[in-house]
Amino acid sequence: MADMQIISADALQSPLPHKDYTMHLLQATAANGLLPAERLEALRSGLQHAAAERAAQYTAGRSTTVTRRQAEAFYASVFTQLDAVLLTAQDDEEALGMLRTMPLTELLDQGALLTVHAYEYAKEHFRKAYKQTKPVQTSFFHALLKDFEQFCTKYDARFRATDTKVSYSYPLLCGRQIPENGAVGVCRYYASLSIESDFLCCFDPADILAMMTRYAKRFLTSPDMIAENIAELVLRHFVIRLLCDIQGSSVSVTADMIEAVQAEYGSVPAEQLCTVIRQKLGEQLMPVRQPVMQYLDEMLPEFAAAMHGRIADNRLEGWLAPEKNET
Amino acid sequence: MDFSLALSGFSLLTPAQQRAQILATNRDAESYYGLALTPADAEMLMQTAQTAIRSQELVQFGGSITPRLIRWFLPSGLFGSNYAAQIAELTEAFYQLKGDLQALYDTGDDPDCVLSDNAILDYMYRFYVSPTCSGDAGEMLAQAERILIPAMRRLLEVRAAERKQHAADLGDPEMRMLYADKIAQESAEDAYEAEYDEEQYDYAYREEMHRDMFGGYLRDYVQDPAEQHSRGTFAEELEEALRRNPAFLLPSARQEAEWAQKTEDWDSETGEEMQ
Repeated sequence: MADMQIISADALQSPLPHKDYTMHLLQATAANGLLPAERLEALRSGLQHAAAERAAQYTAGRSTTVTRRQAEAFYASVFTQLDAVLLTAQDDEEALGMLRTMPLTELLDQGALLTVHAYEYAKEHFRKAYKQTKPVQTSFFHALLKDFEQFCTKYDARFRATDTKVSYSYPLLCGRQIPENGAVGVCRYYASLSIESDFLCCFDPADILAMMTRYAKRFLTSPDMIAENIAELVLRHFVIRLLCDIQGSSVSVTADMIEAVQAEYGSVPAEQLCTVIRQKLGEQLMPVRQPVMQYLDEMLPEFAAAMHGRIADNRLEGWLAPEKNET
Repeated sequence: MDFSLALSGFSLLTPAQQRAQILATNRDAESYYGLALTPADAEMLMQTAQTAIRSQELVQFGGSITPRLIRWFLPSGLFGSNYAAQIAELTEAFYQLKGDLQALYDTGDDPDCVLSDNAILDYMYRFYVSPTCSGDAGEMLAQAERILIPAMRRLLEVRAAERKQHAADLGDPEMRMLYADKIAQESAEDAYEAEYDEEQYDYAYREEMHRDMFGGYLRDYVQDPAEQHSRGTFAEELEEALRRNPAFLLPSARQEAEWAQKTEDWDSETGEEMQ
């Protein structure tokens, strides 16, 4: 047992991807001999049996066959259900421990419960995000409503768990990706939209709209046709003001501010820029919007790297929509 | 170790169990009709079913349809010396029909609008025993495809149009989409209403679709033209009924329940036989 634990620590050193997590875990486990062969074989036949039972439930006695695509969907649904429970583990080691010790039926039951919770929370998150962003919504955000309707009425976690009907067409802040399958993935996406809408609520909608109008004008389009993430646009402008030590919750920036930031942070490495941004954002947001700050904190290294690249190339102005300077 | 789906191993029954189920039909076949299948016949029928299933890109998870098909068609009295071959033809015809219908289901996206295996067997049997087919499986399949497939296509279109109209009637599209799940819950029928509607449909369905099979189609049997019934052949009558109301293509819940009880009784007889 001690040897197996040593082997498992080495074999699972790099974290497994969250997409198709259970399949990756099983394959890594089988490849590295991390579970006894009997346990692996029991898991394999248990998974096949679970899919066959699901087929029987789907047809409700009306048929003894399903299509190949349906059979694959049932099998994928079993794996998605297991993803929901195994992804609650702190790390791959713990997930492996769950596979080793817990019966498959118990894992599936827990996965089903987590999926139901994720499904209900996902709906709440989206409704909140939709209502809060209404004043500053673009047509790309609005288009998510159709996917949401399909998710609410047609999503079937038991038989077609991977077919969520949600296409993640509206980008998240800093290109944040959602690798998880099924309702868990949708819940994370909608939760991200909800937190971003909380961030947008920190600012005057009229101010944001004015910024969007200026930004759209630069690209000869209209505000509702801005394809980028609006929270990210707001963050860019807000950070410029913070770096100029300008207080207040506005998103208006001027060319002078941009020049000042360019001059002060032109030679600062990306990591240091990230630290400065984190500190200044924390001072503004932490007292009232801790979840928002935690969310932004995850994306700050990427954001800071992008900003640093712009500063280094002297293209910061193109990232923003400055007001005309008052003379 | 491969964790991908092994579609060949998807079934809840082993090949030996499936073979035993087919041979268990010999008890009734021999005692009532003097027919019997050999183990080689059973193996041939299993292979025929597997080939047909694979060609239609289906996956079998339950038992084969063959034992049920045998019991369903035995009362036809149309099986002769090539009993096994006739069963094989009917099995192929069954899966052909299933494949044709599945192609419509895939585009229709209406999971409640499907013909059960029992419904397909019932249609096949009524075509099979009608004088225009008289035990010709090829003719039976041709008639079934000619009538049932367009009827299912029409029914799916009608249901899709009804859903679209129902959605349009619900008012503000934005609020409708934002609260689609709550609207669906509120629109769900009351249990009493649903039961009443089911009874009404069952009555109408039996009146229209399940009249006495031979009493209605006397034209093909009666020699004296003066006694000729005004009704047409089964195929003609079915086509006409489905043209008037495509919804009658789907059997009522009561009818399905009767068939389910019948097949359950067969399965328990088979279980006893196999012990």
